[in-house]
Amino acid sequence: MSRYTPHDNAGHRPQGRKYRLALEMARNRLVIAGILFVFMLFGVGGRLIFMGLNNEGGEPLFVHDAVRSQFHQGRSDIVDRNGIVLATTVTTSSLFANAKKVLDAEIAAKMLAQALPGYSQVKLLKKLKSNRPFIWLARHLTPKQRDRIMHLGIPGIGFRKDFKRLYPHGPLVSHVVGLTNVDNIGIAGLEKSSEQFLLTEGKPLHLSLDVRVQHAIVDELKKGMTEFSATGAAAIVMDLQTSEVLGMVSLPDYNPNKNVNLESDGYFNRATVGMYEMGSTFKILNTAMALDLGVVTLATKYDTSEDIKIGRFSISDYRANHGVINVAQIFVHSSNKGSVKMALDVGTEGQQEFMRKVGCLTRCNIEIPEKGQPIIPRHWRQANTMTISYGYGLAVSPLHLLNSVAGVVGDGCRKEATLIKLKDGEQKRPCDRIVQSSVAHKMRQLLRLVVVQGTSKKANVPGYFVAAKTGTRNMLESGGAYNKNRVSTTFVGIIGESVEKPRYIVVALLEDPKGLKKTFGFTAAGWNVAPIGGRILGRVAPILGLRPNLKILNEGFDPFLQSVDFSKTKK
Amino acid sequence: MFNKSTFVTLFALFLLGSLTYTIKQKVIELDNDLAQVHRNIAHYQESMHILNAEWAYLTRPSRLQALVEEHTGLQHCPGVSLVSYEEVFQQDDELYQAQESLESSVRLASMRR
Repeated sequence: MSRYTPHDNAGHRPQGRKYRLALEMARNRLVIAGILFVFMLFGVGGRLIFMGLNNEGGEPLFVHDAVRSQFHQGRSDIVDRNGIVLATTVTTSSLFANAKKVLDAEIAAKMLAQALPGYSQVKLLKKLKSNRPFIWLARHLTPKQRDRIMHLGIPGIGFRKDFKRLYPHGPLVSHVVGLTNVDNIGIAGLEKSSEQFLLTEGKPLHLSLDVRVQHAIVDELKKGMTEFSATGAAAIVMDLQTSEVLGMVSLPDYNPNKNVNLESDGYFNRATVGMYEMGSTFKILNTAMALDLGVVTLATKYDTSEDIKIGRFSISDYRANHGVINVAQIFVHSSNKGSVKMALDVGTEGQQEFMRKVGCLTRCNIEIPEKGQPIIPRHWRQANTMTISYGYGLAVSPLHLLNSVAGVVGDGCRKEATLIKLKDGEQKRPCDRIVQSSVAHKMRQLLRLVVVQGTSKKANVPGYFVAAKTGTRNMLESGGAYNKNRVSTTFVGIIGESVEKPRYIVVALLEDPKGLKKTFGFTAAGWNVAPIGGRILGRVAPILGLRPNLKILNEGFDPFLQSVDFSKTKK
Repeated sequence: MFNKSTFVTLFALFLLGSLTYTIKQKVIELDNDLAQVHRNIAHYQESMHILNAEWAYLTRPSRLQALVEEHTGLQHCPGVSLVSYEEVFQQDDELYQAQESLESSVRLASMRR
């Protein structure tokens, strides 16, 4: 195909050839570029059609991610076992200053102090004069405060989005949930120990607590503290089957929404950090130990007529001289002398090993960081064995008592109490066998007899199987001597449908309760903490859906126990 | 200088360019709508979050108890008040039988009179 034009002639041939070649090259280049361009366009078009048809972009995932990235609350909620919010984070505004850009620090400080009641003008002025490029002036302002400050139009100050931790229930769960500092870093309770979870998981932390149970405990403890002018109180309610703590209270408490003085008495968690000699409630462990080791049976008799001498001290019984009585009577009448003799038959090493097994010698393994180390004898001698048998000389926290007694009377198997709600599959956790199942059954019967015939009559709850034990011990003075006029009283009780089906356990403690006219001046546990413990059980059981059982409360009892007369005591 | 294929190519270019532009504009529009939807979702989630906290605050057991004590005078429910579903009908049957026997004895007494 010729491309010569009519103007071509022989004289211009060399130039015409050059021109033709150049034109040919340009044309070729243009065609190649055009083809490439068309291919690219077809590529882009094809890709668009492919994406439209194939949904390769993963649109739903994109939406989900975008939502998550937009709504960021900073720190996960803490909720109770029913999803009630116990701790949450809300978005607030915080005021900062670039002190280098503030024109007149004195006027600015004066205006800000007027807009923010409660903030010191002197402190604000000091910050505004600091010459620092960034300094916080006020944290977590309300929308009204923010508006007021914006209207002032002060140069050199600004707002930043901030997060504030709120506790809608105030002091109700303060010792368990804990609190954060102004920068939202956990400084106590689960806020501190679960920091990693709360910051990274992006889902609420479900506690085992039930706010209804928690409130029932607080309400009854506060009434009891007021009635008996006690200086402090604590109580824990736990599910015996799963070892989930349903309520844990220490009074006085604190409001985590306000500035908390970490040195104050309210901040001290009596339930897990407070160490107390538990008095006669330790006889549960002592009796279970002797029965489990086969040292005694329920029918084994001891002579309790004479006081027992240890050096210049003597051990006597609280009420009467019971004479020769069996193990069941020793337990029901809470005989110190009988308990001492049983412990001596077990021996110091046996007792020490048993106390280690039930967890009374080491720190509890609960999720909060505030947990105390038991105060154990430096040299565990025979005298210590004797006093520990009735609850003196070994100080543990109410949580230790709860864990150990729950293990002994539950099914003889010990599981550590937990504050985190267990999932369905986790509820049958492995446990450490501490006593035989038959011993646990006997202990529940003995505890029931204490309610029917012994010192815990005021803890009975009509319609339920309630079994309990009380303990009273004199308080230690700063010099190390016991004060005979001041006591702390303890109560351990279980509630269920029958002796075969115990369901919940409560440990309650009163510090320094006073005698009243209606208690005839007595300060023993049976007069003060036992009725409180009974009322807690009576309120908690219907809330948790525990059905009353009016028919078989005393069925399944050991024939021997049914034949023992617990009313007879030698005066 | 320009033959037929050039025109076809240019037309195809124009068509594809227009199509690309239109699709791009639509995508931008949809993207803005999506962003708005995301903002709304986040806003509602935050509102729900605050409302949850407020609900927890307003339904504090201590507050509810105080309100109940002030306005209704209701007492705590004792355990013995709880019965099973079957027992409810059992009690009704017993009540019905007692009522029947009472009515029949009244009828008998009136007949005698």
